Order: sequence, then structure tokens, then C-alpha cells
Amino acid sequence: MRVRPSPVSPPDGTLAAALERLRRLVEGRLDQLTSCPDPADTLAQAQRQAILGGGKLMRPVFLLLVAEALGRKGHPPVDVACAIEMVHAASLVLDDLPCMDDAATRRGRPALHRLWGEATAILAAFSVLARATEVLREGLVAAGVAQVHREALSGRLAQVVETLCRGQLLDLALGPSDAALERLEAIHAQKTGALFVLAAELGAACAGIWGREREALLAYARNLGLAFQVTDDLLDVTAPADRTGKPQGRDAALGRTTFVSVFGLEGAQALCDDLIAAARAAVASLGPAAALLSAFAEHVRTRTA
Amino acid sequence: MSARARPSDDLARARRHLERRGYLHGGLPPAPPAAWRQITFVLALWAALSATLVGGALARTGASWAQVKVVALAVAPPLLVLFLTALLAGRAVALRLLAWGVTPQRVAAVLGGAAALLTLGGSAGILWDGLGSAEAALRVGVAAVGCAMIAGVAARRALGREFGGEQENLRAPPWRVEVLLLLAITGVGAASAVLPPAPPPGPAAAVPLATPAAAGRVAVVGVEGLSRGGLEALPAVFPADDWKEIAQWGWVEIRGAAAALPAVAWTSVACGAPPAKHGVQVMEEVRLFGGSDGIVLPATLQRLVVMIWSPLSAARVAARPSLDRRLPTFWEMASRAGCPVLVGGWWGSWPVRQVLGEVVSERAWLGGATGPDAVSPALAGAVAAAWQQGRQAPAATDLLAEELVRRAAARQGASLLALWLPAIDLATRLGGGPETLTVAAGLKPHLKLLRVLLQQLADSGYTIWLLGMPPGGGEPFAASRSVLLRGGEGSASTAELVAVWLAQLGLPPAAGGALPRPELGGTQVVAAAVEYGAPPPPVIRPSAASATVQREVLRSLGYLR
Repeated sequence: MRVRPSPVSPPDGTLAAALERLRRLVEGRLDQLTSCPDPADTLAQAQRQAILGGGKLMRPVFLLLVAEALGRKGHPPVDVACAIEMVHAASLVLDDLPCMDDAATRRGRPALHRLWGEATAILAAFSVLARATEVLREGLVAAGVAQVHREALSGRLAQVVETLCRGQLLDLALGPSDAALERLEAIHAQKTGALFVLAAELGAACAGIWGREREALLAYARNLGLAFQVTDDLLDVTAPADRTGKPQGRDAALGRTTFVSVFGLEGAQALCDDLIAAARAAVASLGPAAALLSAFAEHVRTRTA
Repeated sequence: MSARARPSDDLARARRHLERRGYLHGGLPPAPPAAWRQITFVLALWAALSATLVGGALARTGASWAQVKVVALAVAPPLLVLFLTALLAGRAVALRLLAWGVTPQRVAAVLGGAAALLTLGGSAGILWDGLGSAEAALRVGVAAVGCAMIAGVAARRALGREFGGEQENLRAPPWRVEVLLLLAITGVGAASAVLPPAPPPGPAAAVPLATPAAAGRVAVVGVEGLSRGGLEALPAVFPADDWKEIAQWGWVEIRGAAAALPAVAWTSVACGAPPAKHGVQVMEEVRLFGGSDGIVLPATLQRLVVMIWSPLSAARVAARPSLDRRLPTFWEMASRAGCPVLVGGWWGSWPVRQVLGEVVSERAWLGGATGPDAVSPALAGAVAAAWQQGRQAPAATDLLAEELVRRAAARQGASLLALWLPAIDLATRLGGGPETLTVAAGLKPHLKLLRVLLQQLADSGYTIWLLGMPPGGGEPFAASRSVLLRGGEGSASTAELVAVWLAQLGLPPAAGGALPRPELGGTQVVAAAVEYGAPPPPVIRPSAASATVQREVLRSLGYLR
């Protein structure tokens, strides 16, 4: 079944302003959380570099956007969002290790293990994961989420970390000639998709949304997460290095299997369009939240970096 | 960039795969059941509970289908109130527990279990009152367990709907389970209501039996509130009344007559059988929607029904006549055998039935009623005279007892007198307690009269049986000069006493009943047992007004609360 995009969307300026505002919130809070006055504290410095690596902060911003769109009152759950970003950052550090993707750079900068050595990078990743758990727990308390749900959501964070590990393992096993869509989807559902879905869950919880609306939101996040990965693959082919922070065509140069390598540019774009349309349709019936979330989906589809 | 073009069928296959994996569709999941479906489910559940409770409650009474419908209508609102209250209370408790940090799984377990246990206990408790047979108990047990399972499922379902989401184990079980449970419960309830036990036998025709002619004269005098210890103390307390001889009569404890309700206890004595056999188990009934038939409900259910309907004047509680008595009393057996009887006040004698002789039922004895349901026409004047000028129950019953003893003494030949005397009990309870001197003084005239009456009966050739029913539920006793057992050496069942009384009248024992024991005064040669049949038909059915007034009388005297 194919679903068509919802015609409802707010002016681009509204979304862009919201994203920028939320991104600054997250960035500022991450800066606070990772502040380290002692330059000799190697682990803390490595943590800070891992977390404040100049990323787009798409996942935490998405979480805050969900909470806001669903009508959360009061201060945004920034700590909860930061926890998501910390998990993401830790996963990137591990992904870049020589035993895995062996990436030299990340976001236009040397990869963490190139700066601090593999051991420090690994330890930094694990300590950031542990820190994320703590930040999440405190963030959920601050956000006023009931204890019963806090326990469940903390459990979900642990599940997602395990899912990320499984996704990475699958990714490592995916050879250049292995073009099976099933594998590709499974990998990204367990990596990019899992974090998007968790962000949506946390955002909904912070807004006090449960039941049917939450189910619709999770469907939105699932489609959006995979679409985000498809656009990543597309941008690797189409966007210049100064926008993405990595050399254009790097995936192809490394012989990686991507949605573009499997379906071609047009095919990948068509899949991305389908996924975005499905995401927008999923939230079309959520009332006032639909416009902002739909616009965010469109933003993911049309992003250039 | 080295993007490879793929055929469109690859893309189509990819889309199909993604759809199978949960992508490319979404939106609000199916809405929870519409309000009307949820209401229907609640109503169906409530109807099943009602059917079960009503069916179980009425099954033992052999109620007619018309009565079942009336009771179902009456019971439905209170059960709905209870049901909805339980739902709201359960939800409130769940919210509180969740706020305290209890996990949904534990809340579901606690509330599901509590709902099941409460329903099990509640339905069993409501239905259990008065259920005597194992069959009924089994039926009630099955129904109660079914109700409990439904309640547990309903609790989990409600929790799952509200707090479920990611809590997979809170989700409701498949609908088929609930439907099957609902059908099972409804089936049990409907079967209980539609297929009641065999109705009691119809009243026997008032025709004499072919038995040897009665020859003896027996007076059975039941004294409410008299214990064996009290009787033995009388010679010392009232030496002038000459109680010494009576206190030295042989006596036995009566087995199978102890009961909280006097009507049940004395009817057991009169019929020589336990309540489960003679059928008189309650003293109250409910009259619903102006119906002419009173209906017996378990106490809890009755309270609920009255609470809901009495403000609308659609339900009223009345005293229950012993129309559902299934066994004849000893005076009815004697009457069928051709022995003239005189009955005064004995529980179970209202409404007056067609007997050879006269009856002053407890309705006339305690309330002064003179209608044909309450007293035989020949004694209506005596009742009116005893109750004239605002006389109260203790004095009026004494006067009536005097009149009946006078008539009994005047009779020639075989005769049976059955008297029930409440004056001592009433004077004790209404006077403030047995320990007060005022009460002791108040008892004196009643005891004096009792002694006089016993002497008159003895002088008239009656074999006297003095039965005492202790206050507060002690062991009743039976004393008589004919009893050879001294000092409480033994006991006798109610059936054995009835057999002895019949034997002393020269009549055979009842078929299937006990034989007259010689040590109680029975004869050595026992005639062949005969079937005395069912109780004779009532002269007239008591009116609703008469039953309502009688209940107030019994309440004012403390026999009902």
C-alpha cells in the first residue's frame, strides 16, 4: 500500500526556526554536561570531543520537536534529548574504530581513536553510554514522567543500545556484493531507525502521549528513520564534502552497499519519497501536531547536509 | 558516483518487502472498540452476573418463571451499581498504585487477583445463604469461579487499554476467551433459573388416614427463653410455685433444633426434621413491584434490592408465612389421623391450615390478628379479647394460653395441644436483661401461670412435654414425666420426639421417620409407619398487608432485626 503525503505543512520558516532553536538548546546543554575544566582528564576530554563533534543533532532535535508538537507544556526535555545524542555519539566512536569501519575522519575532523588512541576511544564510548543512562534517568524525572514509565523507558534505552550493536555486526558482515535489500533494511532499522524510534518514544512520553497516538508516532518514526538513511546515502552521492563533512562519493569508493548502490539514484529517491509520504500520512490524523511533524519529514527528504 | 539503474520490478519488490517489515504504512491504529461496544460488553457482563446470582439464589426455592423475571428485574439495578462501583474503584486504585511507582505488571496482577477473589467471595457469599444441597453448592461454585475469571480478565483488559502500549503482557487475551467465559456464566445462571429443583409436593387433601384411632392426650408446651439451668433453678427462686417436681422430670437435649431464628428452630421441632428438609429457613421475604407472591432472597441480595427499590415503594419486606413448608407438623399428622388438635402460637402455624381442631397461629398469637389466615374462626373472639385494651404480647399470649388450656382440658378423649409461650423470653429481653431484679419480678407472673397451666393439663390427663429453647442459642431441651432418662443422660432428635408424641397419642410413626424410643415414653409395640403426606392446604393465603404488619410485629418484639 502506498500512501500519499499529507498536504498539510507549516511554512518552512516556522520549522527552520524551531529546529534552530531546539538545536541550540541541545548544544548548550551538551556543552554543560561535558564541561571539563581539567585538561589532564583524558577520558572527560575524549568524551567531550565525542559528543560535541559538530553533528547535526538531528535525533535530539527530533525528540524535542515531537514533544513540542504533541503539546508538551513547560521546559523542553533537553536532558532526555541529550541522552539520545550521547548514545548516538558513542555508537559513532565505536563504528569508526579500525576493527570496524576504520574511519579516519568524522564530521570533517579526525576520528576520536585517531586523536586519543583506540583504547581511550573505546573507554570514552562506554563511559558516554553509561553517562547517557544517567542523564536519561534524571532527564525523565525533570520532565515529570511517571516512575512506571521511567523504568520502562530506561529499559528501552538498554534495548536500543543492544540493537545498535546487532545492527553494526550485521553491517560489518555485509560485503560489497551483498546487495540483498533485506540485509540493508535490517541494518539500518537497527541503527538509524532504532534511535529515531526511541527518540519518538521519549518525546511522546515527555508529552504524556500514550495509546493510539503513540502507535501512530512510532510508525512515523520508523518510516522517517529509514528515509533518513536513504537520504544519507543519496547525499553521499550528490552533496559536496563541505556540506556533509565527508568526501563526496566515499561510500562508492569504499565499495559499500547502500540504497543508492542497490536501487540507483532514482530508485533510492523514489523509496525515500515513499517512506516520507508514509511518515507524513502516519501523523496526518494527530491534529495540530501533524503539520510540524509532516514538515519535519519533508525537511528530512529535502535536506542537503 | 557509480549508481546503478535497477529495473522497476526490483523497486516494486523492495516496496513489498518494506511493507511486510512495517514500513510504508502507518497512521492511527484501529480505534478501540466503540463506546456502544464497550457498553454492550459491560452490560453483557453484568447480565451474566445477574443471571448467575438470580438463578443460583432462586434455584433452591423452586420459584416460578414469573418470579425469576421479577427478581431479575429487581436485582439488576443494584448489581449494576455494584459493578460500576467496582470498575471505578479498581481504576482509582490502579492509578494510585501506578503513581506510587508500582509497575503495571504488578498492578495488573494485584487488581486482577483482587477482582477475581472479591467476585468469587461476593457471589459465593450472596448465593451461599441457605443453600443446603451439594448440587446447589456446586452450581454456585462454578458460577462464582466463572464470575471471578471474568472479573480478572476485565481488570487486566481495562489496565491494558489504559496503560498498555509497550506492556505486551497487559494486553487483553483473545476475545474468544472472554466470550466463552461470558457464555459459560450466562449458561450456568440461565440453567439455574430455568431448571429449578423439583418443586415441593402439593398440599395433601384434608382427609383422615386409615390409622388406629387416637386414644391419648398429649400437650407439648414450648417455652421460648427457658434453659435447662433456668428450669432447675426455679424451685429455689420460686418455692411457692412447686417447680420441684417438674424440675425432676426426665429430660433430654434436643438434637437438630438449634437455630438463630425461632421460626426455624420451632418448625424443626414441629416437623421432626432439619430446615433443609422442612423448607422453612427464613422469616422474611421481599414483595416486589406490588406482586402477590413474596420472594426469598439471600440476605445480602435482599438488602441490596431493598436499598435500591424501597425509596420508590417498589419493594417491601414482609414476614414470610410458612407456605413453603414441605413437611407436616406433628399436630397436622395427628389431625390427619383423626386426633383433634389445639395449636397456640407455634411457629410454622401461619397461615392456618385445614386441620381437625383449632389453630391460633403466631400471626394472631403475637400480633392479635383475627383474620382467617391467622386464627380458626372458633378462636377469633378469644384472640380479640386477649388483645383488647392495648394489651401487650406477654400478657396477651398468657391469656390466650389460659384459654387454650381451658379448652383442651374441657375436651373429652384423645387430644393434642401444642403451645408456644414467648412471655418469659419477651419479659426478659424487653425488660432489660436477665440479671436485673426488675426482670426477675416481671417473670414471676408468667412462670406462675405456666406452672398453673401445666398442673391443669396434668389434672386433665395430658401427658405433658415441656420444651425449652434457651436464650442466646444454647441447646434446647425436652422434659416430661414419661422420659426415663434422668439428669440429661441422653439426647433425642426432633424426629424421635415427634414419633414419641404420636405414639403417646396412640398413632403410628411417620414413614421414613424415627421410631418412638421407649426410654422417652414410647410404647414397646410400634404400629406400622404410615405416610402422613404433605402439609394440608391453608384455609386462605395471607394478604400482603397481613404479612407486612406481621413483620413489624416481629421486629418490635425483637424476633427480626
